[in-house]
Formats: sequence, structure tokens, C-alpha cells
Amino acid sequence: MILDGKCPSGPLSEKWDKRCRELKLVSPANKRRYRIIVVGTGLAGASAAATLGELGYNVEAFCFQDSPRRGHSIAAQGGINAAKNYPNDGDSIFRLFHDTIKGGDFRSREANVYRLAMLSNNIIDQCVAQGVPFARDYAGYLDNRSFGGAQVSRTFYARGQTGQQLLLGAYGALSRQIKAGTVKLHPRTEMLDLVLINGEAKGITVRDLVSGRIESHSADAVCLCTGGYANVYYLSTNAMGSNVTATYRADKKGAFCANPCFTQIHPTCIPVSGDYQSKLTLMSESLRNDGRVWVPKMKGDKRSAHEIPAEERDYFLERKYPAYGDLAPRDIASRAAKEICDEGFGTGNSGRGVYLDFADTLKHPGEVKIRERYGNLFEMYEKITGEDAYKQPMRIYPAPHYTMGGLWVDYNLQSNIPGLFVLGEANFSDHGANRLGASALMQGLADGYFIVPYTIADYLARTMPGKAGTDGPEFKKSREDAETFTKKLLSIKGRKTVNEFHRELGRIMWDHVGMTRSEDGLKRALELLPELRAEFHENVNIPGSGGELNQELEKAGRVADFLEFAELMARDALLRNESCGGHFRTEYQMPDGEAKRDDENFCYVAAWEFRGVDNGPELHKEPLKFENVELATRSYK
Amino acid sequence: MGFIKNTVGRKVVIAVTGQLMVVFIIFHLPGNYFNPWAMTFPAIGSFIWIVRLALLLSFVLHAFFGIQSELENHKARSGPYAVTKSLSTTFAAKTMIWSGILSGVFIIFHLLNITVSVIDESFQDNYAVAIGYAIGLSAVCLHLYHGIASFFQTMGWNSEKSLPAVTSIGKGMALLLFGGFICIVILNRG
Amino acid sequence: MNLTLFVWRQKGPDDKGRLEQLNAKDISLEMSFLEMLDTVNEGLIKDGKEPIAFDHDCREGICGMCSQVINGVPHGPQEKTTVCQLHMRNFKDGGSIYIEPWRARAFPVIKDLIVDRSALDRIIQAGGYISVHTGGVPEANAVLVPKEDADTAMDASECIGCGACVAACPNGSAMLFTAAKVSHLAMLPQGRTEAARRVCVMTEAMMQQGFGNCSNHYECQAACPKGIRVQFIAKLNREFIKAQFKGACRKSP
Repeated sequence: MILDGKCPSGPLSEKWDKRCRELKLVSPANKRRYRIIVVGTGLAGASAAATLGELGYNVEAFCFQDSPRRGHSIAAQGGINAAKNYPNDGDSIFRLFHDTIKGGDFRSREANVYRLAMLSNNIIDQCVAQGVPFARDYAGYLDNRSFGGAQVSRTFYARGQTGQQLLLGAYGALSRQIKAGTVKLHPRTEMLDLVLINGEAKGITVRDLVSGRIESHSADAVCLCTGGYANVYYLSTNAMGSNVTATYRADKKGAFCANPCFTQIHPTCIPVSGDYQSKLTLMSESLRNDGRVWVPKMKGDKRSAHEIPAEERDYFLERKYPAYGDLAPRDIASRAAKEICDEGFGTGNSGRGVYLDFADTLKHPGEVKIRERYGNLFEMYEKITGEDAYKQPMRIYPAPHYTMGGLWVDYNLQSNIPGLFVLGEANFSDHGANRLGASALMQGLADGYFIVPYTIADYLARTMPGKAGTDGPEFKKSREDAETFTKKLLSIKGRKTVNEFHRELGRIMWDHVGMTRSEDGLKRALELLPELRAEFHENVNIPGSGGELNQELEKAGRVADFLEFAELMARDALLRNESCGGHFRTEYQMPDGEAKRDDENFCYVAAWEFRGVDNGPELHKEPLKFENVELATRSYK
Repeated sequence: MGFIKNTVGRKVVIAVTGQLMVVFIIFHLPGNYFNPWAMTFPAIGSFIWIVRLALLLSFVLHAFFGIQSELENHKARSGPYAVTKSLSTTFAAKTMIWSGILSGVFIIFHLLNITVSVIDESFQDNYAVAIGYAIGLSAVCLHLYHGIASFFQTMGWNSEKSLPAVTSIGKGMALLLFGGFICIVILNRG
Repeated sequence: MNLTLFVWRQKGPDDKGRLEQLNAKDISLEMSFLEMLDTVNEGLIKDGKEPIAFDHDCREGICGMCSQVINGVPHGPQEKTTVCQLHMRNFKDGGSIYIEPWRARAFPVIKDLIVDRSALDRIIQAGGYISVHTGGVPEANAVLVPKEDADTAMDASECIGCGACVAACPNGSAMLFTAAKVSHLAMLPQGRTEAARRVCVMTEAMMQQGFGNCSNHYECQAACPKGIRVQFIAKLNREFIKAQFKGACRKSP
């Protein structure tokens, strides 16, 4: 099937206005008759729930954490982009749009990205009004910093905790609506299933993580704002609880999953120290503004960093990409670091790390400035590694960080299932094959504050409110299925723990569906994954029962989904016989090792329809048309 | 009435009334050394009754809200930790309720002893009374050791820089007053 | 290294709970504290026992989910560090570690080391925000904010809402948490309009949720993993007194 993103016609800059004019409205008196479920309370979820509640809808918000303030958006460090052009360095909405499209290696929808760039300015206004304490200069104006993949300074930031501050802004707005009674909050509740009635999304089934009860909630529309799936790699920068369950179970109910192989490996993370490692810690990419990346020119050089003279250091990013140097986009910087370590130049005990050196900036503009910009990051680095980065260079290594793929949505952020809207990282829409730094926060908030509140009305206006009750057969079946699945998992009582399976899954994914992929490797993964999955369902050991707080059971459900979802990623990666953005196939590269895109054959979105775990999914394509930018080879040289 | 129902409002009442009594104590000390100073008080006539009423009111409010807060705080805790470790609080701060009660008893005793002369035993003659005075003064000192600095924090007259200074001055002041009064007891005994 | 753990085990809110002695063997110095607990849990599961339930999520010190009192100190011995960022190099081989949940009446224990902190959310819900609508706001640079004020607001806003201040407070008070939000918003011109009302409703909510009163022990500051200072409590008090002159507390619902 050929999918249609339903973008409005007309000039790029007028598309969103045109769509807004066409969208149907729900009258104020009618709004309270509609119930909307919002799953997830990160930036996208909190902003959507708050805004929809304020508009007058009845909103039910769900999160698995104990408080809506803890969505993993909170961990975003660097900043949020906007085309304000405050520094007067030539930025514009078009330039932000162009940078994002190019950064995404021409695998995203023009109309969506342009809308994102347009709304970026409103987001900054909104956040400032909410009291987000962005960094300011001495005159009291907002300050900007530069970021990877852009030649202008357009990133707004709040120390190294921009995500936290933005989320607290959205959490404040959400709290206000909870107080007002327009939003009902369900913390420590995990979504297990999407319920469809006559093919439309009308509710969800959840597990109360404290009591273990499985319950259903009905609504007139459902918004999934449940983030990405980087934890499929086991070790990633995501929170321990970040999972694919909500979106994958929606996928199993018919929602298409688009471009699942587009994952982002972040170049600046703290290297792995041992097998027990439970997660990887990201150091903001903004560090690359002031640090220089290098490795010793001599293989296996065991000298400490400052014993190695300048002429014996290889500043490989600056060497390979002179124009952008240390600010080359994430995928390029990550791959370069992995390659150089694979060749044996890596530093640290494991040989899996490169130096990020601040010696130059510590001399000028000096330690005070560095402390002001990155003080908390340096502290964090010291806590984890026991090393002082003011005295010796940091060691960094790439780690899975963000997933561009996600549920397929049209221009209105509605999936192929009517009534199911997908926001933020959970959808596939705006970042193509690679996301630029400081764009995730922008997308989450644009979707939640300014897009879905408009587009959801168009769907609701076409439906009668309150038709579905949770007693219907669809809800009953959904609850029964969830109960059966839980009971099945608990009854296995095998010998391996959930973590052991997850670790093994992570190893397969990192080796074969990680930063570089090959046909052989992907085929190998497609052999290994079903075996691991089968073993999981025979040999996993989950203690305790379903009727209580049971963290192993929670993990098991999530890992069970990852085990199936991983296969979809591998299939998608195998289909895409090209290299683009975060998807690098070793067979498809330029003579100099750069990614070789194939616009002739792969300039489309690959959306997969679930056909049963053992049947393999069905592919649907949405062709990508570029009317306003030229499909160029992405070059940061 | 929102003010005294509010946790901060009550804290302000405790702080202000406490500080009023501290001011009195400060005036009280030189009075013990220089009789002429002390003699000016009765000379003012009705003024003394205004002061006495203000002090009485302060005492009652301070005690009432102090005890009420303590009872609430007790309720707000839920069982002790198996291991407890104080990071920054002091013995004085942790024992405010006890030093407060002891101080209250001492003040009542002192008033009955000196002002109203119901108890007709002076510390000059009676060792037990002198020891009682020493204990009472220690309790007051302990109470002020936390109380004086706390006043500034509660009134919000604290900034990044002033907090350490205010804390030190408060503690110093408490010790100074203790020294001043205990000397009277010791000197008159000796 | 090898350690002896004394971990609080409690099946549910109605269970009395007790300390259970467990051994942590072959612990690496590079492990984080939670990775040490992961290792212990893997062992428990293999032995057919229930693993220790504890809250954690981001494991990079920002989400505020982790919450353990280690040897009598919330978040353990290292200053300005959450449990998840605490590493085993801070402990001695062969030592004992006591691990307990946050203890306060407003934080009932759910299971083992997990407590219910929704009372903190309810303090924010009472008014810990600027009542701005989505859309219809002025241009971001239309209102200037002196850098010093923005920086101080940021200092206060770094609070991660973990509740260590409450766990550390001998009075079970959430004053530092409340003060951080009051101060953050009162420092900014956007938040001034509601400042008087905010301080009243938030402190009232704090009392209603069963937290104790602040009596200036400053244990909260010492335990705070983000270094939120008690000067913000002074700021809250100042805001409260100022609010009296506006009669803001009488009007509040």
C-alpha cells in the first residue's frame, strides 16, 4: 500500500496555516464531553495533556513513574533549538528547516520539518512565560550556544539541564490542570494494550504497578507520548524504564511502525567500565563546542594523555571534516570514533574510548567560563569515573541515545488507526534518518503544545463523544489477553533472569544492528533473535506474583516486546540497501567511507504492518517528495 | 487568621516573640551589674506594666506555638531510622523543646523568686537554688544558641553571605549572655 | 570487595517491615550503588527469593526517582550525589551498609525501599507554577531578566523532587522543596504576579499533606543532592511575610 502523509498543498511556509484553517473545531461547550487519554508525561505528553486539559477536554494522563515530573525528557542536557536569530548570525526558519532536513539525511517530510521550525519560536516564548530559567546575558537577554550540525547559534539552554527545566515547565502546566480537575493523573501505571472499536482507538488497558490490577480506560482518542526504544540495545542513555511496550503493542493492534532501523548513537557518552553496567551516561553534545576530540597517533599508546605531545595526537574529526571539525553531526562523529577505536587507536583500559580535551579552552576563555557552561557535567563525569576532567581529558565513546523511527503518523500526527495520535520521540515524523542536537525537545513541545491540540479536534469533531464504555467485548478481551500474558510469563519459572536476556539481546543488537550494519550481520541477527526469544519464553525466571508491585514482571513485559521489536528493526535495516544518517550499511559507502544514500530506490518511509510474530511484517511505503530543498549528498567536510 | 494557621506564620510568631524576650534579656543583663540602670525601670511607672504584659504575651504565644509545632513535627515523622546520622543540625536545635520547657520553668521560678518573692530562698544563701539557677541559665543559653540565629532565617533576613555570619553571631550572643548571667551567680556565691 | 547489607524489607503498607541481612559479594569499585543492588538482586532471584524493590529510573542523577537512606544519610555519604550516581569506591571492603527507605508520615512505604511521594506533587499542584495559557504569550525577549536573578532562579529550579530533604528533616518537613519552587518563580518577573498567593497556598498544601514544620535544622541542605540552599527557605519566609501585607493568605481557598 502507498501511504499518504496528507500534507496540505501550497507553498511550504503556508502549509500549516492552511491546514489550521481547514481543521474542524470542537465548540467549547462540547469539549468537556470528549475524553482523551495521554500516555506518557515527558515533554510531549505533559505539554499535550496540559494544553488539552486547558482547552476543556477531559484528559486522563498515564505514566509508569511515580510522578509526571520524571519522564526521561528530564535528562536532556544541551538545549532546544529555535529560529529566533537573536545573535543576528543569519538564522531563519528556512535555515533551521534546511539544517534539520539535511541533518536527517533527507529522509523526513518537508512539510513536517518546516512546521517544526516555524513553531520553534513559539516554544521559546511559551517556556519563558512559564518561568523556565534559560541562560541570559548581562543585559538580561536570552543567550544562545551553538550545537552540532549547525553553523549558527540557535540553541537556548538552562545550564546543562535544559530538558529538566522545560519538563518542569510542562509539569507545572500539567499540575495546574490536575488542580483544576481537567486532567486526571494515573502515576505508576503502565499501558499494556491499545483497545480498538470498529478500527478506531478508543481506550487502553493498563496495569496498576502498585496493586498489580489490570484495568481498562475508555476515551474518544488516545495520544501515545511514550518515547523511544533505544533500550533495545540494553545499554543506552535512556532511563532504565524507557520501553517500546506502548508503541509496540499499538503496532500489534495495527498501527504501522515507520523506519524502526533509524537509531541514533550519541558520540559523547562515558565509556563502559564493566559487565555489570546497567546504563550509559551521556555527556551533553555541547561539550564538543569547547572540547577537541583526539586519539594517540600510535596504536595502543599507553602513555597518559598529557604525556602525549601535540604532534603525536590525531585530531581525527578536525582532520576528516575540516569545515565542521568537532561539531560534525552525531552519526558522523560517532562512527568516526568507533572506526578509530576498531583500528586500535582507542584509549582507556577497554580501548573503547577517545579523548575529549578541554586544555585549549581551559587556557582561554578559562576555567571559570568552562565551569559556568559545563560545571555539572564535569562533576557528573568525576562521580562516575573518578577522574577530574579539568586536569585530564575526558574519555568518551558513542552510545545508543535516540530513536528516530517510531509509529507512522500523518501530517496531523494521527497514525493509520483513526483516533490514535503519536507525539514526540514515539512517532517517526521529523528527524528522518538522524536527529540534530537540541531538536528532540523542540519536537516534543511542538507536538504537545501547538500541533495535537489543533489536529485532534478535527478527528473528535467527526466522532460522537463517549460512545465506548470499558464493559464492551473489545475491552474485556484486551484485559483477558493482558492477564493471560502476565500469567504465562510468571508461570515459566526458568533459570535465567530478565536482565540476562536483555543483556544478550543488547549484545546482538549492538553487534549486528548497531552503528554499522551489513547484510550478513543483519541476517545473522534475524537468526539469533527468534532463538533468544524462544529461550526467553521457556527459561525466564520471574519471581513473585502479578497481584503486587513486581519490578521483575514489569521488566519482563518490556523485554518480551523488545525481543519481538528487535526483529522488526533488523528487517527494516536489511531492506534499506543504502546508508543514510544513523543507518550505515557497510556495503553502501563512498570510496572515502562516507554514507552512500540511494535516493533513486529508498527515498521513502518504510512503514511496517504487524502480521503475527512468526509471519513477518508487511511493508508499506510513503514516498518522500522534496520540492523545496535539493537532495544533496550530505557533506560536513 | 490565615497567618497563625500557616506553618510559616506560626514560625514568625515564635521567632518574633522569642526575639522580644531576647531583647529583654539583653537589657536585663547590665541591670544586674549596674543598679542605677535597673532602677530606671520602675521609675517609668506604667511603662513597666506594658513591658510586663508584652513579655507575658510573648511567653505564652511562644510556648503555645512552640509546643504545637513540636507535636505536629512528632506526628510528621514515621519511626526512627536504624542508623541515624546528623549532617548539620546541632544538639541545641534538636533539644529546643526540652531546653524551652526547662527555660519556661526556670523563668517562672525566677519570677516567683525575685519579682513576686513567693519563694523566699536566694541563691546567695542556698546552694540548691544556685545550682537551679545554673541549670536554668544553661537551658536558656542552649535555647538561644539555636534561637537567635533562627530568628533571622525565619524573618527571611538571610542571604547567601549573611547566613554563616548570622549563625555565628547568634551562637556567640547566646554564650555571651550565659557568661554574663552565670558570673552573677558565681560572684554572689563566692 | 565484599559487603554486608542490612536492607529494609517490607511487603506492603500494612506490613511492619524489618531489616534483612544480605551479602554482596565480588563487588567492583567501579560499580554504581544501584548496580551493586542489581547484582545482589540477580543473586536473590537465582536463589528463588524476592529481589529488593527500589525506585530508580534515569540513573544519571536527574529524574529524582532513586530514594534510599544509606547508613543514616539520604542518598548516602557522597555530597551532592544521588544514590544512582554514588559509586562503590566510596565504601570500604568488608563494611556494613544499612539501606532504608525515606521515612516520613507523608511518604508511606509501598514496598521495601519504595515510598509514595505523590504528596510532593500535590504541593506543586496547589500553585507551584505560573498560570499561563498555552499560546498568547509575549515574545521571549520582551521581558528582560537580570542575569543574577535568572541564575538564582535556576539554582532553585535545579530541585529534582526526590524528597531527600524530607527524609533528612528531623521534623519530616518539605520546606526546602517548597521553598525551592517558591523562590524559583518569585525570582522571575513572569512569576511575580502570583508570588504572594503562591507562597500561601503552597505552604498550606505542605501542611495539609502531613509534612512537619521547619525549625531550621538545615539537615535538608546537607542531604540535598542538588545543593539547594536553605537561603531559599529564608526567601520563602520573606515572600510569606510580604504576602501578609497584601492579605494574600486570607483570600486563598
